[in-house]
Amino acid sequence: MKYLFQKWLFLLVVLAFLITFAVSWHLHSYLAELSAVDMLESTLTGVCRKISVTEHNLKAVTHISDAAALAKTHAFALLVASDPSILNNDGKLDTLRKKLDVDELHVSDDKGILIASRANEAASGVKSYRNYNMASTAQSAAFMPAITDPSFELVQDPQINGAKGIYFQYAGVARIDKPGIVQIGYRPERIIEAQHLADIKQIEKETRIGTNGSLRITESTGLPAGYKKVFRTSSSLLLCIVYDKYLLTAELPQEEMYVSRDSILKVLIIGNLILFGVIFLLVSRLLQKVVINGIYSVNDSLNEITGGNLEKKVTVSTTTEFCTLSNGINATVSALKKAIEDEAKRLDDELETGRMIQTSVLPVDFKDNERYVLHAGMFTAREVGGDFYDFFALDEDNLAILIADVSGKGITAALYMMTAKTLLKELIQKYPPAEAFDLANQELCKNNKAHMFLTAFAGVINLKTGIMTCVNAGHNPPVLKHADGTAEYLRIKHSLVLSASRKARYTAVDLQLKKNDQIILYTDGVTEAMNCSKQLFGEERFLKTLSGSIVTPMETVHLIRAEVSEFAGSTPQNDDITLLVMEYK
Amino acid sequence: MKVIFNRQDSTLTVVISGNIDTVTAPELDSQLQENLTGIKDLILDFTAVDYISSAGLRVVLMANQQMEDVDGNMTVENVNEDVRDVFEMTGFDSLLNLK
Repeated sequence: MKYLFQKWLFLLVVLAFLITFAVSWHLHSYLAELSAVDMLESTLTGVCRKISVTEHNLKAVTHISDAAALAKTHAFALLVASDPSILNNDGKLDTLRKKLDVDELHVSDDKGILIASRANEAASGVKSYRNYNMASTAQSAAFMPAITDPSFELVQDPQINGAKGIYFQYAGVARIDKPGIVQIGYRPERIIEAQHLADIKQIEKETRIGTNGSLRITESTGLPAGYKKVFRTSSSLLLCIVYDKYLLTAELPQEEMYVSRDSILKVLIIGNLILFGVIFLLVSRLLQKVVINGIYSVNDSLNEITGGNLEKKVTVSTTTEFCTLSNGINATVSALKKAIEDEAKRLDDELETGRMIQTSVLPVDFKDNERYVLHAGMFTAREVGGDFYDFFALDEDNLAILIADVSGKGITAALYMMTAKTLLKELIQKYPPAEAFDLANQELCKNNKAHMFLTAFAGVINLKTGIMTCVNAGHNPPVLKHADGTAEYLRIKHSLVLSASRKARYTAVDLQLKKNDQIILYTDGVTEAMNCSKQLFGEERFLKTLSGSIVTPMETVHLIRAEVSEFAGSTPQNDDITLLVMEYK
Repeated sequence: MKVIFNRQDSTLTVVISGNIDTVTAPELDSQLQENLTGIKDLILDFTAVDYISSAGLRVVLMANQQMEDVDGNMTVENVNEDVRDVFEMTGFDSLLNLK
């Protein structure tokens, strides 16, 4: 839990690192490709220029060579015209061939049959082609128009000579003195050299692209001029452009293209690892110090406060925000404390009111009488209950005593007790006890939505005869203590508690009291008083407390109170203790 | 205090164990109220009830009246001696159907 924040921070930093890496990767890949395309483009531009220059050179060389060949042919034709006899002199023709620096000299008649022919044996393989018919092959037939056209002149392109397999070129014009063909043959060494230089295969080989890149020059079949396109394959980058009649394709392997990117990224990764590591450590440390520790400290204080210690103050003041938070919490706790105190006071006031209701209606006029001595007391628990006692003279000779315990606690019980007490007193004053209880029960059962009920014991004592008519509505059995110190429970018939059922009927029992008999009425607060071991005071202990030496009713009340207190020790009193003791004289 | 409810058709058996005192009585009351709808026969099994206070008696009384209101029956079974003493002292023995 404590490292949750660090976990999240770590995740975020890793994420930021990955994003940075991805962005750098894409950016540098893009830049690498861009510069590779640039490089290929400039290389191809160079290649185009090279092709252009060599083709131009080839044309120039061809032009010069062709012009020289024609000049030599025209010179040979003039020599033949001025002296046709040399055609029959092989020695002169050979000398002339050498002087003209050609390999073959041929002259035909008007049928195209060679009448004079000299060849350099070293180059042509034969000494003479005399009697060769020029019309017999397509190559030589090209010169046939010279027989009819005096202005004819032709320089053929160099072609492979059948006999020796070397390049040979022929030039021819019309014979001047009579119809026929004048032709020379020679090895076009300069043209061959120029053609060799202009060979695009040579350019392909000579052009370098990167370290392992390559150039291919092919025919541009069907592609428009100015065509230019970049292709990417899984292993390389290709740039194709069309120049003249060629398609130039430059290829650069990917690993070469990305060499710079890869080395930059290596540095970036190492740098970023260090950077993000430092950021993580710094943020983590800083937040731990400034925020997290503060939060845990506030939490600890809050735990203590929720644990019940409202005196605890939050004292985190590392930052202004924490000062505000601490002050806010402290103010809230103070307000809460005050509210609790106010509420406690209100509850106390309510309890006090309840208790006042309860005690104010209890008679405390314990005047000694010649025929009886009476004392009563109520020792309330913290929460107000519904106990009450009462005693009143019905006439000169009859005294009524009453004790009751309303189920439940609080104001409701106290108010219910008021009603019950008033009702019972009124009815007992008018009717015999059993009848009074019957009527009271009917009355109390009306409108008893809260399902309250009360246990009650009432006794009416004829002070003359000592006969006590008593009725018990579910109340604890009273104790009768005799003058000799013995005590016993008055277990007369128990009727149902009052206000529980309309069907309940109450019956009275008559008892004969003797001189100095004490009748002790009490509520279950006495017998159900509890000590710290959860033991109840109990009926047996109560009877034992009462047995023995004779004391006045007032002393009895105090004795019982003292005994119960001693038994309970520090265990808080849970229920009201109500006592009424009457001694018959 | 622990309460176990066992319902069969319109008969509800409530097995209560522990003390029914001022503290636990309201809980028993609310649990009973949640389960009493449609019940015609209510059986309170008091085998494991050790003590009942006046607040507990009030809950029993209320349940009894609710069953009377719907013309049903309520039976309190297996009441131990201490609790029976309380029922007798308060006259509840005459009101309730004890078994």
